[in-house]
Amino acid sequence: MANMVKNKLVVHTHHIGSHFTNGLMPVAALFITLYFITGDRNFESASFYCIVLAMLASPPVFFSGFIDWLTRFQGRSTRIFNHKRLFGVLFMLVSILLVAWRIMRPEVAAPSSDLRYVYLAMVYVDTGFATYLGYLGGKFI
Amino acid sequence: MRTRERKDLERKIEALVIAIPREVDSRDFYMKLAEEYPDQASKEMFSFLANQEKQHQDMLERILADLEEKLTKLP
Repeated sequence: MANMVKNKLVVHTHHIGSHFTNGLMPVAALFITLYFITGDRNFESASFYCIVLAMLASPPVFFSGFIDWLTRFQGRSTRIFNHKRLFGVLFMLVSILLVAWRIMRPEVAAPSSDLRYVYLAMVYVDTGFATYLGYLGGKFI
Repeated sequence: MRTRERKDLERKIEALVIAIPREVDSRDFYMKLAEEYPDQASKEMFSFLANQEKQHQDMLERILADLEEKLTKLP
């Protein structure tokens, strides 16, 4: 019974956390796009904070998913699980990179920055990873 | 041809790996309901449904074992 409760807790942590990241990343992409269009710095800040929250949510999502895979799915290796692991790691890495970069260079997305389009592309790519992970997760429902 | 056969088997295995926990969850769900309801008729109905899910789970596990064996035998 205690095991069943623990398993449910793990599953729910994974579902709640993954909806969190899947909700935040498209908003981060939308806000950074609006910043590029309007130049309003508030959009850039909003985008950054969305990425920070998604980054913070990603380790619990990853590890609860990993435990769920080991228990309910008996650690079986299939294409879906391999992709979930790979893209989960990539999502965390790109999120950490984006946050670290923005902290070290607050003007990274500013019009004066040479690398602003690289930053923008990374936000889009990270959003793509989150969306793909959400798509894979949807196959389990 | 072999690659196609392997991919086909892997897809079937993946479907079953996803389906089995669903049966387990459904069984847990019905068992919980069987415990919750005080009347005998409800208890029997939910226990029957829980048992059905257990049978599905057993069947899927047997098929999965067969498919996994077939996969290991592929050259």
